[in-house]
Amino acid sequence: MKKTLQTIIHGPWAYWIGAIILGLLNILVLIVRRQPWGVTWNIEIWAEWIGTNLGVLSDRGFTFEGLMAASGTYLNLGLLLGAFWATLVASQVRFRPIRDKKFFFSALIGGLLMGYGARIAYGCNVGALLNGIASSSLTGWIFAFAVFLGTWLGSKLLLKYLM
Amino acid sequence: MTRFSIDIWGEMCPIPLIKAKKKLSSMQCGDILVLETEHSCTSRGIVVWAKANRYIIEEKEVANGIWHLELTKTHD
Repeated sequence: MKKTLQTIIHGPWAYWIGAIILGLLNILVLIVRRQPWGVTWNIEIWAEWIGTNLGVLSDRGFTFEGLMAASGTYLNLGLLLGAFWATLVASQVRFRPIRDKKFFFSALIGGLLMGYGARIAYGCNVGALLNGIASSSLTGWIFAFAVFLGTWLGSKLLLKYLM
Repeated sequence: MTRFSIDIWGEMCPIPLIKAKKKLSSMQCGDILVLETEHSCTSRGIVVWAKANRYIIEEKEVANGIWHLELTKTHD
């Protein structure tokens, strides 16, 4: 019993347990929000709002009040805070410096490409792939094929430049 | 029975696992590979991989967020 509690708090959870909980919570999001879970759409409207205020984008009518009322804002914040909280509870929080410059730049370039790709595909892993396939959208399957192709290419690059 | 270690500190998966595999292939049966990481997913990934490949693996969280792994090469 003590060991079970220890595992719940400290981990590691079995992958299948995490998968089931994630699936159930995803259904809950769909029921409450009447719209599937997605991460990048909300990041895009925040970016557009910042861009508009900096004067580099034309105004598409996103206001701060509107963003603070968007459910996606809280889903994304919850994702970050929840992950941080879980690490905190498991007492695994630690400042982890970047080992090598090349990892910094590869992460930066990777993030930019992922963000750009997610937006021109109208969704990310969560919005287009998981929820796309779950709602029998063809987009999800095309996205999955592209993900495998991209991962294959990414692995080749990783072995060549980052090892 | 020799003890080997490789430096995977601060590296993210899958790089540590690829390095461990490479090192393992140059080792003899019964040799031990010692690894230390500060990434939970790196530690987890190596443990899952080692168990799936029937190697003996010992995982210990030696400090908050630091894992010490000892992998015994049981077969070729």
